Amino acid sequence: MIENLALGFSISLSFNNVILCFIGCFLGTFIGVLPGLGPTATVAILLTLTYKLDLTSSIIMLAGIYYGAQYGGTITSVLLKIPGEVSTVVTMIDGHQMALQGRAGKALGIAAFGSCIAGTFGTVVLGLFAPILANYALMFGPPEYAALMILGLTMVVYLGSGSVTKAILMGALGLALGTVGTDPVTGVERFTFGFDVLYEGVNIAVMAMGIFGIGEVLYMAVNVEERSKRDMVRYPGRLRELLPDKKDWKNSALPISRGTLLGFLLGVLPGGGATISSFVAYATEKKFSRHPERFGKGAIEGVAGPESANNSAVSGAFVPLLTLGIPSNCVMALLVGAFMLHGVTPGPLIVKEYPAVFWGVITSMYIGNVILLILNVPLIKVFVKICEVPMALLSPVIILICGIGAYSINGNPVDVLQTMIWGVVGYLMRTFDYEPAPILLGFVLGPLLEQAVRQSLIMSQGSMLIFFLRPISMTLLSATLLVTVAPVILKLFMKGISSISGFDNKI
Amino acid sequence: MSNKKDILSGVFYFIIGLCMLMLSMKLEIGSTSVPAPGFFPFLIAVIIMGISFTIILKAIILKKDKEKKVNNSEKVKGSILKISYYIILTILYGITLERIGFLITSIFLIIIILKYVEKMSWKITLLVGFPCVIVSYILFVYFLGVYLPKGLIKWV
Repeated sequence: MIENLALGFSISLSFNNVILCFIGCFLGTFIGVLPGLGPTATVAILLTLTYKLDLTSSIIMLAGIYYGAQYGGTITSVLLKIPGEVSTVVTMIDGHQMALQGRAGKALGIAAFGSCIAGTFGTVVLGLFAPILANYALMFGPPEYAALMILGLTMVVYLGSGSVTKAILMGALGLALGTVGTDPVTGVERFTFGFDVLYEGVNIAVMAMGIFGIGEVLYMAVNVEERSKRDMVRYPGRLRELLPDKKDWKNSALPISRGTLLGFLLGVLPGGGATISSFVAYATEKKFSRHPERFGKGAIEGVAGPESANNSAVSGAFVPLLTLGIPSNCVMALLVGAFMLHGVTPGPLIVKEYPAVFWGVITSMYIGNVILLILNVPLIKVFVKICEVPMALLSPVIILICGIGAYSINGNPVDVLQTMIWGVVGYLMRTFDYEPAPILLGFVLGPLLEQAVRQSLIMSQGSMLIFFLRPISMTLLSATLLVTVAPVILKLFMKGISSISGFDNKI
Repeated sequence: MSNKKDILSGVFYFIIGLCMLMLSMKLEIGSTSVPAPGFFPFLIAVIIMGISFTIILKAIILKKDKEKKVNNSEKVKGSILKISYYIILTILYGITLERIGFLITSIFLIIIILKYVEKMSWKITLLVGFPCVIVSYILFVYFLGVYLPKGLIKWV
């Protein structure tokens, strides 16, 4: 373990990688504070920046962008009462109240410190847990992989926001898009309609930039109203104001610990991720608190717990990616795309065949959390200024970056046109109330799922029972069934939380 | 309005599913013991058609919400026009990128969007447009080693 960490740090502490991690954290936070652009859109827009880098550096930078974007969302939640993305909705409840009481600095400070601690813990556990899981993952055959992917897709669909039926449709559409190109087994062309550009399938970066980048820009061009400057709470001007005092630390210590553990465990689950973990962490803190009536009125625990949870969930989300090669959320799906673009298939063999990549990425996450803390505490003023920039000014810049990004993939201007087409698709999806996230996960998992299903059926000579007779796949499919019937249970559970925490009044 | 949107989108996706079903049947479907290239797309197409049909049914069966009639046709027209400009400009950008070059096309793209679509002042347009394009060029070409077409400006 120590030798592995030493290998990892020797790679992640190289000058280039530290700079790239820094740039990733900075750009991630920069874009994360922009309204409507969450971590998925941020990673999608900046994905092509990493094309020319080697694999380890790419993943390091993209991971930095991911947790930078998470923190960017926290800034807008606390100061502007606008959640940067869904997982920061909970932070907004007490965070904004703290800001109104003149404690914005404490809220942002504890969020930054809590995130750093949680991220560090998550990284350590990831380094311990992932290689062990990778060994067990070698026991996974095609039926187990198929069952796990079905579970992942089901969780993303059922635990996301919006209509479940529409989310299932988007997931299925993503699976359908994954079949465009050549059949993975026989090499037969499918659904290319004679276009050479589709021979290798739809490009994930083009699609992601279009749907999440340009699509969001088009949607916000007509739907976002400019914020009044009066709505913004005064941001902390001095570094001192961002440092939590003894009482803040005393109140936050246990929430940070609990949030860290919960976040990691939930982040590991396919479809789990930052959103669920932040909600569960908030509900847990309220349950454990001796003074639950303080929640919703500026309780620091209401910021410390969820923020730690959502950052720890980021580390947890890397577990299925690095050990099984299965993304547990959209951002991980984009990272799978980044791996494949460099000709590496993430999976259980990555620990043995690419130890430099594996340990380099894990140790860089620790460095990234420290950089984020160093970056965000003094640069908060800069990021807050970005919040004030009107979207009308930023939209053409985002379109330009997406256009350059698309062109840089193959040097083909047709990719720029494709990106715009996907942008229109993304805009229409939002207009007709379809969530775009499941389409991306379905797209990445589609070819893998197809291969796993076909191989399983060949193994069983056509019998579907193979999925139910093997213990691991049976367990995973049972979990899928549980998730499917869970919405009713979840509705009752959330209703219970609402009555305890007063969610309905605060959001 | 939300019911109409759901019916419209449901029909659209049903047609997509149907087309996919027909195309996958042209590819060989095979059997469960020997799945062929059309097997998986066939399954997905059936799912898409089933879910779209469910969406259409739900939209028809659900009671229509009592919506206030708001005269927002001007706003809708303005929105569609704005989006159309974005789309046309980006398409033109893609078409002219290689011939005219990255620097010129990008500057024009940003200036036209900021000045004529978003109605910003010339001061803001130029203060944002030029630095943005130049910084992007330096970042992508010199730091990331990405090739961007020079077009008419060959000496950069």
